[in-house]
Amino acid sequence: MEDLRPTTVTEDPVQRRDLILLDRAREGDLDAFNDLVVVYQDMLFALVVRMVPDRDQASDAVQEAFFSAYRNMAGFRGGSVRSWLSRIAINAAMDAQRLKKRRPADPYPELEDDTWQPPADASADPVTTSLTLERHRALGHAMAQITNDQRTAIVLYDVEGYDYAEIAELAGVSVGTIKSRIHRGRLALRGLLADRMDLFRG
Amino acid sequence: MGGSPCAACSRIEWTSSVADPKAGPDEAELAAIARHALHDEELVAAYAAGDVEDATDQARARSFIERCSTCRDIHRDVAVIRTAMRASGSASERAATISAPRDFRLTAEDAARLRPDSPIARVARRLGWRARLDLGIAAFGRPVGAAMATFGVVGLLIGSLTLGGGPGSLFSAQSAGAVPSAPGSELTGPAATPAIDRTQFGPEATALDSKNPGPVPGVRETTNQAAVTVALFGGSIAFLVLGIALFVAARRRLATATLR
Repeated sequence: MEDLRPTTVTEDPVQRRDLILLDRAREGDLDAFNDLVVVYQDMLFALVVRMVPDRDQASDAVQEAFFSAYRNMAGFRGGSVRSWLSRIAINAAMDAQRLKKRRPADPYPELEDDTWQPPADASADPVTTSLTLERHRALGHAMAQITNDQRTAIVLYDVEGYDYAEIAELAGVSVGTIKSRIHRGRLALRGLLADRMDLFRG
Repeated sequence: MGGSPCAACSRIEWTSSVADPKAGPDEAELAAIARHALHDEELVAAYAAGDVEDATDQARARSFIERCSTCRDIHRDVAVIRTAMRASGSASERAATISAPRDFRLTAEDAARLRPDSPIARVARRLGWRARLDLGIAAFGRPVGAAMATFGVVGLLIGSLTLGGGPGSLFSAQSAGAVPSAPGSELTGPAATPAIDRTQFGPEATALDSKNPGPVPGVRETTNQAAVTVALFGGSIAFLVLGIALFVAARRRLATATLR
């Protein structure tokens, strides 16, 4: 008999695969859930490490996100599994930030994010590639120094493409507060990058 | 501090506050900085991101950018930073080259531990009832515990005074023979004994009762006083112990809640 539940009706093959895996996981198939983990762990780590610029804490947050996802599989109401997991990971990252705020003794280390290379254009010359890399590195270091709230809002809005209302809902604050965090965060970044703005203006 | 201050020996270099026509650019720069201090940088940053909806605010932001070079720089830099951020690669793009530092797959033990339980337990966990209980006990336990312990100590002190020291104390009343005599207690010899032996039954007791129709006020008062003292002592000790226990528990819970 054909399954007509909305969670399995989708045209996108990736989403279709995800929903099938999630359905099997909900029926108790741990391997199916772990398949989802394997598919999304790198993406979620890349997302969380931008918000929590400490690789160990980011790893813990991602692990907590998968625990939370497993615990709340029944609460999945359809749509994109990827978005659902991303939201859980964002919440876990915010929890990690709150925990950090309560124990501010250890500041975030400067994120050595050398594993990531910006997508290089095939026609780009080495100078441009090097400049782009340097720009991203400077930006990453500055991002690690602004406040957690500002960083989260900027990453979600500028990088991940969430809109103000979605970020406000995730953070549990008003849209105005999110806008203010983003604008102040950009101003703070400008202050931190003051002596390196030539990299960006060029 | 000898000698009079003079221009030659003074270490302070005096400068004129009157504008020097030769130092024109500096003055202009200072004036620009002073002017910019009154400008709303956040408004300019919001304008650079296209987030200013109000027409009046838009006009203000535009005028800042047109008239103030610092605001112009902010406008340009914020736009550039925003572009750089957007180009820095989303999580999906980064996932192609970044690998998670560990394997996040769940083990069978993890799954058993995390398996969704009953709806009530789920709601309770979502509400964080344990954390709330901890914080509740931590918040109210210390003052309530301290108050209870204080009551306990005060009760013990009053009980001690009643038992031993003051003019109304049980022992002083007994030792002074201040127990009021019952009418029947004037009887001496063997006949006096049954007057307080109220455990006897039968015709004799009935006869005695008919002689002493009411209770023996002195004895009963002493008994009541003793009972009250015992109750006071017991209650005070209970309050003291409970108060201290509550206080200690509250401190521990607070420490746990803070660590969590």
